[in-house]
Amino acid sequence: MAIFALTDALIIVNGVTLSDHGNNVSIEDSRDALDITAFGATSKAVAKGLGDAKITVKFLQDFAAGKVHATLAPLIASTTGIVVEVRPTSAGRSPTNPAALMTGLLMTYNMLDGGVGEVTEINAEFVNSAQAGMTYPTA
Amino acid sequence: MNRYRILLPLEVHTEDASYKQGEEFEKEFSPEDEATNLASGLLEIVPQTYKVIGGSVVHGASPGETFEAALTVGAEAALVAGGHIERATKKAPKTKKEE
Repeated sequence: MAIFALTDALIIVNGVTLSDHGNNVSIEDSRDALDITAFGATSKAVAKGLGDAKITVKFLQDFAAGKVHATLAPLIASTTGIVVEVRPTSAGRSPTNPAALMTGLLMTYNMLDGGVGEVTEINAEFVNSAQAGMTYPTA
Repeated sequence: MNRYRILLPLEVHTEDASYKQGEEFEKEFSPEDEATNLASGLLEIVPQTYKVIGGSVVHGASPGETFEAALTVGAEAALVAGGHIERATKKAPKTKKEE
């Protein structure tokens, strides 16, 4: 088994490939932990509740036509879920290169973030908006 | 405005005509209404041809190329607003209203 080093992740937001402007990506797929501990128990017990999912991407900001801002600005104003896909590498989906796929809403977009002379790295946070949640297709 | 195909054995009434399973029609749904009709399995979006006019790859097509996709109203609006795509001029089959 090889330890995976992230060097060529694929990031597609609403169909737009923005990998060449991303430098950090985080995928979260979680379930609420419901406390089902009853009287008489000697240990806490939990059950799984509703699922949740989130994809956070750090982008190098670019205001050119068809780049980062042009892609994200319409989405922060939109109430319609769009598809976000991330793959470990830019190769096609496969069992060894599974996609993380989610229909989500852009909930956080900080257009500018940085100090004088710094590269403007911005965060885009997509939160699940569909019943399918996060899926991991391999084809 | 998107073009839709009826998937269920139901008759769909629009402002101009009625359509049966397998038939296609054009309509301007709100994003919410469109999502409801797609999720219920009543309708599917008929793929359209788009041209990439921005500087990024969109749905696998490089700038200047065209691609075919069934985009929701919201997804298409965001891509158009971002200057990524425009609809390529491709004559769709006539609806009952046009015939």
